[in-house]
Amino acid sequence: MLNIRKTRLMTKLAIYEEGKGRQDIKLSKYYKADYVRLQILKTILSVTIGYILILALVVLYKSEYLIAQAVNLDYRAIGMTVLVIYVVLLTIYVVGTIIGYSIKYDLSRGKLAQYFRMLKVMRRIYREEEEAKAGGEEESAVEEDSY
Amino acid sequence: MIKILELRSLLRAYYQKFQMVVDPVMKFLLAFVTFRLINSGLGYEERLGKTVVVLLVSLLCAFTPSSILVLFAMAFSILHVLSASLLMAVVVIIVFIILYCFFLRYAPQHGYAVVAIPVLYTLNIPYLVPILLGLTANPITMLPSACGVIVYYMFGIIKEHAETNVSLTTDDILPFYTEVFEDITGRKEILAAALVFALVIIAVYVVRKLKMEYASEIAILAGAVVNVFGFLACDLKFGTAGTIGKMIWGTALSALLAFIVLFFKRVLDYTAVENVQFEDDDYFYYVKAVPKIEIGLQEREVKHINEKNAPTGNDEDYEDDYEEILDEETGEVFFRPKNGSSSGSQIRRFKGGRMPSLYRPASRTGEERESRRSQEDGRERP
Repeated sequence: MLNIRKTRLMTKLAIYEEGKGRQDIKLSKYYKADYVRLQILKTILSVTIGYILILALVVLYKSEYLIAQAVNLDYRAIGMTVLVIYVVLLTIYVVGTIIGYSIKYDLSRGKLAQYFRMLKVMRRIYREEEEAKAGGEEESAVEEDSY
Repeated sequence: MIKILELRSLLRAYYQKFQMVVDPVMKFLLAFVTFRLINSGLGYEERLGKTVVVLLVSLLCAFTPSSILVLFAMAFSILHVLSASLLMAVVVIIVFIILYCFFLRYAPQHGYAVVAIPVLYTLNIPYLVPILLGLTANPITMLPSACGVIVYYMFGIIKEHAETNVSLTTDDILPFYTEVFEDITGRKEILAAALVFALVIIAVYVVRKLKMEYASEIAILAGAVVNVFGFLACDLKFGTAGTIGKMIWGTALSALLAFIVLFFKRVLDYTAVENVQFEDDDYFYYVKAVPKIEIGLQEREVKHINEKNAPTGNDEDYEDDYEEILDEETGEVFFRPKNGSSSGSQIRRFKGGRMPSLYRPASRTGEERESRRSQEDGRERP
């Protein structure tokens, strides 16, 4: 027979899981340090790709000059400038990532508290159902014995 | 006020009823207008400008998530530029990837701002986007809004230079690119506009979060004021004072639209019908969850035509028309109308000596009841 209380709770859980809770539940699978580390790795990758593409656009823009002065260029100085800008950019983004994603993780934990509370109630309902089932089986066994 | 509440309830009810139709239709209209504006703004590829193509793509966007609309809008822009210059199309793709790497990946769910800002710039109301972002999201949305500003100026500059360089032969492509690059990096108003939009988002967000009445409404006004002063400073600095009037009108219209959006957001938030499916050990469940609606009922005024006979609603007054008689034999209490000619001239008897609630005064306290009971007992047993 349908348990209305259980259905209501399951509906609420499903709405949360399929909607706003999807991201929070995904985050709950990680420890905070692991999650922030993963995001730092992604940030390093994306900043590196973005920076290389910017360099490509600048090289294309300066291509005539670079070809003309290819022999006279101070590649060491250019390399150092490019590297320093990259390191500064990366530092800013990594610090921003650590702060931003730590806040995001903490906020998601707060939102998940209500979800976990509902799960606890769900577990209790399951336990009650199992006990009722076990009780019913015992009664039927006693009845069979008496026959 | 009651009329507004009733209208709100009515809108909620209709939205719940026709949600399956309203959502796709709204998305379709939004997509149609967006693609139309992109076609009229760039318009190099004639095949994309055909109504059939626009209608089909809009129809597809109506039934897919909003990120698909953003993707198609980007594809339309790139294809238009591609028909003007292959190199520029490659550059546009690279710029999109750079914007994603540096800005968009931190707020992908607000990617629609990248399309909304250039599209609304053509209608002179781009200021609506930062106000709405501050109102509904968080300050991280200043990144997608900056992307929107960059995209708008980038396409504007490409269009400007493409018109002057009519014959784009292979030899002309690199100078064309150099001109565009110089123009994009040289225009300080791109940075200024992105900065003002960021300030508007922060101002609206901060005021909205204040614990006071009408915080959201005040936040819209605060955002509009910051926007006007920010762009005023920009216009005066970059010598584009001719657009000040246009900017002020645009801001006023954006604020008005933001108020309308706020009204609908309050009305329709959490009213959408949810269709979920799940299972347990015994059943598969396909549940349609409909949020409960509170309908603001109109207060009804009851008018008594014949006031003499009609009950006034005050039990105490009504009780005054009856006299209380104690039957000493049975111990029961009788109530007899004082006015013998009235329709209730018969003696009314209530078992147990208690008046029904209609005749019982609501204000009678426990002490009064006790004293009355003791009086009755005293009369019964002298």
